[in-house]
Amino acid sequence: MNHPHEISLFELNGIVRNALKDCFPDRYWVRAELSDVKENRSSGHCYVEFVEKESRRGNIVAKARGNIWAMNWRLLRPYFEEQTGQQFTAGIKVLVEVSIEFHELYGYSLTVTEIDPTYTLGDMARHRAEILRQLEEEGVKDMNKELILAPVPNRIAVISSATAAGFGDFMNQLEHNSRGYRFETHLFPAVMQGSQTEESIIDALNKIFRKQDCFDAVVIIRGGGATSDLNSFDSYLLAMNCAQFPLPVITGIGHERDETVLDSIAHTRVKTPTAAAEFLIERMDEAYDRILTLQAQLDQTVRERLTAERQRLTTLTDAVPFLIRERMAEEKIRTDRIRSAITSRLHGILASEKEQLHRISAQIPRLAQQSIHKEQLRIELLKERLHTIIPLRMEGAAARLASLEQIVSLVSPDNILKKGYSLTLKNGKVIRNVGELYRGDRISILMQNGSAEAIITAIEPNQETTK
Amino acid sequence: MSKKNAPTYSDAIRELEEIVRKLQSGDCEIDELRGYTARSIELLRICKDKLFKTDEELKKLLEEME
Repeated sequence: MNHPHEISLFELNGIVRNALKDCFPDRYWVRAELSDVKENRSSGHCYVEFVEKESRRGNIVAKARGNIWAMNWRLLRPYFEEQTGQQFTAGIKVLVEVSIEFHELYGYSLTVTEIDPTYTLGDMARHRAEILRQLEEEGVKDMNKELILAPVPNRIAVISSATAAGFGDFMNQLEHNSRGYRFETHLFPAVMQGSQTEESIIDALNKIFRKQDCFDAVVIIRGGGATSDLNSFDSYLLAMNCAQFPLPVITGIGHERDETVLDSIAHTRVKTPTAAAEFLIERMDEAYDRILTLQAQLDQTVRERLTAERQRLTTLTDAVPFLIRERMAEEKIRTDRIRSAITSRLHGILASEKEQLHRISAQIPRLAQQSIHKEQLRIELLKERLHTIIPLRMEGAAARLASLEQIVSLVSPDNILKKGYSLTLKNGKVIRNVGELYRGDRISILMQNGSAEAIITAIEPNQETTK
Repeated sequence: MSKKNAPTYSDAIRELEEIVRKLQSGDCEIDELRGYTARSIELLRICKDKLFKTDEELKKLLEEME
């Protein structure tokens, strides 16, 4: 069955192509995300895939192929990368000027004629701001900044690619520092470009963490090459690791544009590896200058002190002989004064003693005379008294003798016997008690003019006396 | 780091500053001057060593890490 308007596919695609060309004669600025970027090495053309994602769930809601012809790509790519510090690569958002093409064989595509890097920059800035906000909310954003860098930061853990020109610059700068500071560096190699950057740097950080006591700081350096592909450093995970790292992190990742997230959270951010080395050297300079200042102060102070002491000593040395002389003179005056005082006092004492002696010795003969005279008078008096007393005593004694004689004569047994009393004797002994006598006893009775013998015939004691 | 009893750089600097302060204030006897001077020379040496000398112990540690 024949249809009058039957046409071939090529013819149809040709109609579509012409229709599109008629309908969309202009160029359009389109916002989209790159999902794939491929450069054909031989032709130099760049083939990309644009997508648009739903903002909430991220589902792809639009898709288009794009071409950047070699002639354009050669100009656009370096411009874009220079402006954004970012490769024209999958995952970034772009604002591109396109014309709409339709090719019979390849179909619908967009041909890129212009790229506006400011849009990408804005998007990246938003992305970075978002990460920083999150880090701040989690309280880790300023943690590394709050660490105190050692005053002598010369034990450095370096994270870099071993072959990077920036690493060479850094090492060269450190080693050839003008004052000859000694730096101990250890390289922890990491991939500094591309999709493995984040993981690789975190891995290096973990290695350093295990040896953290060996280091004063971590330096993350990169560069020398193209200032592109920095979005690896706008990583939440990497920033989280660095912010909480126990050693100060110094970044020198080699770019001039806005800071990456890593730069924002680092303890110190410098632009290039060389600047990182200079920063460390300056810090050493500060320490060294401080030491030199202290040394100079010490030197000056000690010198001044010694000079002052020496001067003091000289002054004293000069003063001593004079002082001694002065003092000796004073002492001499004093001793002289004391000596004369003592002498005069002694003289006084001696004179008064002498005088007293004179006085006493003058009195002695007179006193002796007086004593002798007094004793003589006493003797005379005694003599006189003896003369009167002796005859008186003699008379008294004679009278007393006479009276005694009288008493004696009165009480003699003869006188008693004369008065008629008699003595009774038994065996020659005087008997005074009738109890001594027994019947038949022979007794003698003594009387004034003789004695008689008798025999006891009866004994009658008195009642009272026998009792 | 290299010697157990050696003060850290910060401690050494602090002690140095204290000695300077003492000397400047005249707060030290002339008899102590020699001791302070000797100590400050020792401290200066420690500080300078940290700046200019290789930390052999650290070097060894780092080599072990290889």
